[in-house]
Amino acid sequence: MSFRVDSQDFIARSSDALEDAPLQSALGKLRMGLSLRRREAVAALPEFEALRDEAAALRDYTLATLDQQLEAFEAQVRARGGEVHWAPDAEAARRIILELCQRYGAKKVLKGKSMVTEELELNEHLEAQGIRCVETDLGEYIVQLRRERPSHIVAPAIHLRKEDVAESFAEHHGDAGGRDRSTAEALMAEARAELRAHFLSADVGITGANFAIAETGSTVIVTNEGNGDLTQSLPKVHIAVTGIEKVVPTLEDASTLLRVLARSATGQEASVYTTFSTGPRRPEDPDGPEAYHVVLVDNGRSAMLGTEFEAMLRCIRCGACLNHCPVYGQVGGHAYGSVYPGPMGAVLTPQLAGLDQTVHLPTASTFCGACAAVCPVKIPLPTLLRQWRQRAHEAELGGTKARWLLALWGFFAARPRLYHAGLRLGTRVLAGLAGPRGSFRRLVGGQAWTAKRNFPAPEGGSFIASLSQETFSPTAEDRSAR
Amino acid sequence: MRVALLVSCLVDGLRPSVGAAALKLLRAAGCTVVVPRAQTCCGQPAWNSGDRATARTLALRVLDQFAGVDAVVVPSGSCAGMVHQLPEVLGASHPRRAEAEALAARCYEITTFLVEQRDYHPGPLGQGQTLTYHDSCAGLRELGVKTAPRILLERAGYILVEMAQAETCCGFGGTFCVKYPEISVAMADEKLASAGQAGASLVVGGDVGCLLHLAGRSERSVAPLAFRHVLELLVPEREQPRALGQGTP
Amino acid sequence: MTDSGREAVLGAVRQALARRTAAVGPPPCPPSHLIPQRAQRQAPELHALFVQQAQAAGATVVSVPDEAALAQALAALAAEHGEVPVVAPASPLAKLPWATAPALRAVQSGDALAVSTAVAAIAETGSVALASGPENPVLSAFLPEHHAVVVPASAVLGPSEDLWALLREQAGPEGLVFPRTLHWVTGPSRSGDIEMTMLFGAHGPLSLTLFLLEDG
Repeated sequence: MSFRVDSQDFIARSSDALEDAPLQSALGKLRMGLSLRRREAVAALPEFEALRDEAAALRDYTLATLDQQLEAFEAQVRARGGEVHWAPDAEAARRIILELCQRYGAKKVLKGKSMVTEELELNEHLEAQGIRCVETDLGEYIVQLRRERPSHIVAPAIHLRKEDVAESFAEHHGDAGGRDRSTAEALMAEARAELRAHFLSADVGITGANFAIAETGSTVIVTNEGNGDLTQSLPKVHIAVTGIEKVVPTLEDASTLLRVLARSATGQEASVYTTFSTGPRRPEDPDGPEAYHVVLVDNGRSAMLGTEFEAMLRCIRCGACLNHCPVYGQVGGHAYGSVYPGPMGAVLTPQLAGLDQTVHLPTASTFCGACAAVCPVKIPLPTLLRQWRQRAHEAELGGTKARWLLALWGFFAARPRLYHAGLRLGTRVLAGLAGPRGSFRRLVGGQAWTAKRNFPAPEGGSFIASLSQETFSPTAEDRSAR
Repeated sequence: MRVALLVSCLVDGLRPSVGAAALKLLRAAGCTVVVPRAQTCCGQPAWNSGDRATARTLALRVLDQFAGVDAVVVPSGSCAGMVHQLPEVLGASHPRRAEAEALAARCYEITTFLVEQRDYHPGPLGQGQTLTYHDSCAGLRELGVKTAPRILLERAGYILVEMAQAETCCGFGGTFCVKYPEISVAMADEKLASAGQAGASLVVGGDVGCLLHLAGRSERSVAPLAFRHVLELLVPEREQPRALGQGTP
Repeated sequence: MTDSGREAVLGAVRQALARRTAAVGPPPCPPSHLIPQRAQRQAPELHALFVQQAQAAGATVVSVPDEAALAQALAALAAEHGEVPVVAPASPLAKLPWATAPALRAVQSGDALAVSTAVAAIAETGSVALASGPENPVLSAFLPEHHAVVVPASAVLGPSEDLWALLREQAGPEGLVFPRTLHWVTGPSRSGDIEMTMLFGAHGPLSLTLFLLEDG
């Protein structure tokens, strides 16, 4: 597999994250901020729930007709003078993009925010070939300077404090004139000035696409900064890189999805810039790119179609599941060791990288369901995580101790007499041992529980065993009832 | 109305008083109650761990044990939620799928059952005691249990103060709490902080698992809170066990 | 290379869809399109909604009664920054009754104010729709420090679906003709990427002023 993951160290990374005070303060803001904003935006639109149903149905319809939609999209792009390239896997996608950059003699490439190119590790690949890549989304730019990966699919630098940003800017931009880097405003103004110079000197602009519209051959990007628009308008070449699942049939379909996207992502009614790009500039146009290419990336997506994981292809990358996930909220994105963290990443990453490397990701969930409750396209994320757990169980991946304990539990649970006798005895012994203290600070074999928690003692005896045989036989009615 | 009580493992073994309270409340609400003696576990730990075969074996046992009643009532949103998933556990083509669907359709979390099916009004018990309610995830998001426990507590005279994070997962998550104890405890701390900010010293919930986890963590703090299953507060004080979270090991 | 990639991807998709049909049956029907009640209004409520939504998104909305007032207001806005507005030479705005001549040229990085014209406004979200072309260079919306957009009052629509309907009405025999770039702009550029503090003027303009021109 060519998809890079470091998910095997999930436990160690999450421990580090929990000890990282600045990260915890950043995550605290995320947990409170974005979920509140979403809630307010949803409350302001009475039709929101109905729109979620519609968005999910629309995505399902598109996936069920994906070949037709992709062909229609390709035909429209060509009719407008653009080129479409098909990449079965990451390697092919990287090769296609490199060849395009070389065709146009590119030395500097601008990047709009694109998770697919993160998935492809495109920057590393192009830089290895001597082509400089400059991320233009503010968060992506910061993360790139720090040689980190994004920790969130919508807010890449959510894990950093402004002091961290100031430090990186001082290192990379120099310290001419003792710049003020004490406020977020000053830092943003500095990034704006630095990036403006890059915008005016780049050869190729690479963006992602939130949607690709089959009807018109347009790619759509949604941003708040305007970086994507400068990226695709100033250089002479625009390359839009997107997953094959991002196609939608019509303009009206895009309207429907846009209604749920911004609200779910940031709690905005609409993002600042929604941009429909169709072909290269027209002969009479004063600006815009002279060439327009779309790279359609499969990279494991078609393998999910028609399987129990198909619903994951509905995903529109809004990040709401990350913002509402209590596990993500504690450990942040880097703990997952994948460019796709959180609930959506825990479903997608095993598909892209293989389950043996990533078995922690579907396991590290309480199944609280907060992700599915907010997903704008109603992906049943806990159900899909459970599917991965089933595959892990079948493949005997994950901890053997847990498997044995579970098997033992299953054995007793299928033998009620043994089960109840054991339960009564065990709970009595524990209650006796605890005595008036009422709970345990340590339990033999229970370190995982008691390291940071007491174990409250059972009351003693079991409920079922305390019932009289005659009154509560499995078939007889409770005669003492009124 | 003839109802069967699905006690749940944690109530059965660790908090039998909750089972006794369930029995008493269902009778007081005019039900004829049977407690199938051979019931053990609904299979949720196996199902959520990906062990479909064991989950299926236990699912069939549940079907056997809980046939022939008007309703199956559970003092746990989590286990009631599991019963609702039994058709999925068996799969689309299983010969007993229809039976599982029928069982799911007549299975209720107990506070919802008492309020919506029986319009039950508990006697005055609360005497103005202040408490805050933790919505456990499965009950809340799989079954929509939100108002029913609050209605019962308020009818009984308790004063409810809501915490900001009432609907956020406490970090128990079944086997999650021992597979990822550090994350689990960090989630508990956030919940406990939110409960503390609400200004109530008693935290009430509908699932013993969450309560054991929160109570165990709270006991390690400087100012432990008290924790109770909602049913404990709907029977007279003398029938209530010692609150969780008050241990002194 | 590209062709073999095409066959590989489409082949894999078709194989998967055959698997899908075998498992769950033929594709469902395309869903209908729900348009929120709030967007289904008529003028003048529609104008009120547009103003309210655009302001909520951080734009300033100014109503102007006629072209003379518009030219005056644009000049005054640019004068706040000590400059004249930049207007594309092919823009109809070039022919406004300007008291002081605007800069009729392509926008440059660092210009104080550039002016665009909207093909429509979407009241539902408070957005203006800009279609690229000689009259409306794309960069006018992104390179200047401040951006102004002229919206004819008659171009205020309810939902974005009405914009698609309008474009379909204008479609020729070859179907829908789309500009290279169609933008919906909803408030000024912003970013929350540093500690989730929302700040205006990330890459694009620091402010957005919408001039709602009464046109009969």
